[in-house]
Amino acid sequence: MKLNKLPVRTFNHIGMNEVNLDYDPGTYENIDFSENGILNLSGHKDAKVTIDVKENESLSVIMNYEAVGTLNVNTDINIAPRGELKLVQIDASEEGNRLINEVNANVGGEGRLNIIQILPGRGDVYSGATAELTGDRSECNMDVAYLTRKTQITDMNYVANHRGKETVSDIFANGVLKDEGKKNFRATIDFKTGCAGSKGEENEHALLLSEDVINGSIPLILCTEEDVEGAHGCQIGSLSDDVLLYFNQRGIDKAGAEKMISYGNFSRLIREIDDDVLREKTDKLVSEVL
Amino acid sequence: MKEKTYVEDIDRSMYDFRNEDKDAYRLEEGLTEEIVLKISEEKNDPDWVRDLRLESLKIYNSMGLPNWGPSLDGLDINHISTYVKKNAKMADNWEDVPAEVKDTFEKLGIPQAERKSLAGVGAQYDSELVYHNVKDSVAKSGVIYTDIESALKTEYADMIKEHFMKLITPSDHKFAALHGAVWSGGSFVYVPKGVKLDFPLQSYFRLNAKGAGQFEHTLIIVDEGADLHFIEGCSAPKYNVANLHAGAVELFVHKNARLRYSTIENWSKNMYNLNSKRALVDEGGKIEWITGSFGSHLSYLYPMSILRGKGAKMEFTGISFANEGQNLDTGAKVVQLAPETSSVMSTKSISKGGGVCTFRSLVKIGKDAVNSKSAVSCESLMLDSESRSDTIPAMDIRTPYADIGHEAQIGKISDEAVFYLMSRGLSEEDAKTLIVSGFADNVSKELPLEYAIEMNNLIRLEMKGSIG
Repeated sequence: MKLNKLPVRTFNHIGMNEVNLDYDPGTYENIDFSENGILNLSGHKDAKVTIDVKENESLSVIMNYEAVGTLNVNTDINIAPRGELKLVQIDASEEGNRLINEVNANVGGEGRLNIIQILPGRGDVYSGATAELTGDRSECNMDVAYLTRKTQITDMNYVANHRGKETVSDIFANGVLKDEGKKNFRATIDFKTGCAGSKGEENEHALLLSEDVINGSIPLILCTEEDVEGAHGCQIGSLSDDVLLYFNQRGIDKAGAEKMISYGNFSRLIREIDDDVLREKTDKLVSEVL
Repeated sequence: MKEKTYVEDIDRSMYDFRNEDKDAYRLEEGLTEEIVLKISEEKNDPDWVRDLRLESLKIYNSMGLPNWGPSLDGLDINHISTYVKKNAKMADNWEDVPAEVKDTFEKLGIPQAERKSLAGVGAQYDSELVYHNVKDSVAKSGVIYTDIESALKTEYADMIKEHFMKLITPSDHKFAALHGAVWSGGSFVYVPKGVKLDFPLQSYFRLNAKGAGQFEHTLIIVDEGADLHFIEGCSAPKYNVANLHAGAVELFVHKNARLRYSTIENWSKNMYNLNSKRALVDEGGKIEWITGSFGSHLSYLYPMSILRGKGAKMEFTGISFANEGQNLDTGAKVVQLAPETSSVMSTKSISKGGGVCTFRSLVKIGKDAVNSKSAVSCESLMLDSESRSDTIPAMDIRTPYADIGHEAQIGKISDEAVFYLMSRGLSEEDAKTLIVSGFADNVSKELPLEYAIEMNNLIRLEMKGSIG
């Protein structure tokens, strides 16, 4: 199956246009989860999750993934005008399993979507989210923390399609690559005709901790509207000497500094988990893999 | 309903004048082995060049069109004549150039520029060079600046064979293969060790023939410690059928040498500009690309730099301005393979009147490029909502010991800035033109004065009628 396709293709030789995965989905299990709470996805294979957020409603949903073999989850979200959804997705899979996670969301007028993905890196992850900001003044925030280690692949694709007026998007990925980890980060802000007054921003920080990692990044800004503001920024590399000196002066060596900063990426998002037990469990999981 | 300002057609007469094809030898349209062999025969190729042409043709026929980038549906090689030669021999004296051709280049200001500020000039008209000259002092320093066909008959033949289509190979992409099959004209420059030229060399390419292609090859070798500024200019009159430009530029920058390669591209708006440019930079060497893209109906242009020597550097400064009917897909690529290499890309793009600008780039940092740096910055300005501006930068980083930064911004002209200038007596159009010229300042300040003026004139032409 083809996954994580860039909305606009570029040079084929760099291999970032999409992912071709040797996986054929079976029959999808349909799950409706339009309520506050935790959706545990363990023991599933192929699942279609639907989340509907009604007008003026505010929902907080946690999707906890525990893949056995391959777990393939497609989530369709519809947020009615002035609705709000906070969706936290946690990959708690055991070592060596594979997660395919795809989110497609439509956000109505003044609606708000906040997607948080915690990908601590115990197996390959193919994760993407597309937000259609169709309603005027709708907003989306996509915030991702990842760790890619051993020979794992973390392949991501986030898209914000600005269609309504004065829409706002913010895509942020903060991650660490270790060992022979390979990561691709695709992010697209697409200002469609008619989205006057919209703003979009995408940012990426990638900390590379091994000589054998492969880091791919492709942040797109597409624009057919004059009255918009779009920005992208990224920083990729190892910890600077200044940062290492700062830690060293406080008695923390390089390995300790790297671990502390890596943990910081996750802890910011772990705090967003609205369930004490799961928050503690995720924190423990992240600490273990780091 | 808002009343629209009446917009006059842009006066491009300085570039759009044309000459009849009389006295020209023109091969039939299309691309066959017979045509390729005719070109080879016409040019009296050595065997290896003829063989390379035939091999390239095979590769061309085996490759598909790119499945990314702007559509090439309007381009049909069966309606392109790949070789058109004015009935004139190359001259090294301006007075010996045929009057009609001379008049063309006089109008474009080429001989004046040579007299004022250039160390040497080459002028290509359709498929062949019609004029080539270097100042005596430059020639005495051992600098070679001539057409490739002539150089192939000198002691530099082996040097050309060693470098020709080795950086851009026919199998790179379909239009590199096309170039390999039908190339004609262009320049060969060799700057010996330690020679630093105070004034630039310039080649100017004019495609006058309707429904024709231009496939010039530029090969520049800057030897150890040498320094060169090379300027490339191009223009063509507008026709109602497609013209094609698929040139190739191969640049070899040796140890501690520097090459600045400046281009003001102003092809007519029926041109498919599918040009390939590549530089190989050795230890301590530096390649600087200065690029202004204003013309063409459609462009695919991404100069590539391969930094293979320790401490090699690349700077790319570019501006694209796409107006009605234009789709300019431009950018740069850099591959950093050695330690302590650095690259800086700084680009601006302006889209107006339905024009499409795309910035497309690749930064690849290899495993051995420790302590290397790369910074990419691109800014896009949208002047209306009929236009389009896309930014597609890719990064492939394979060492942790590199410092990579990227930033991109897209937006419109600030209303406050326009208001400020109008409150000081400027019209809205002049205010916007001034702001756009300022936006393009990073490119114009890198060009020799004469070219900076030409670039600003082009911006003024393109901005005319921007208020409506």
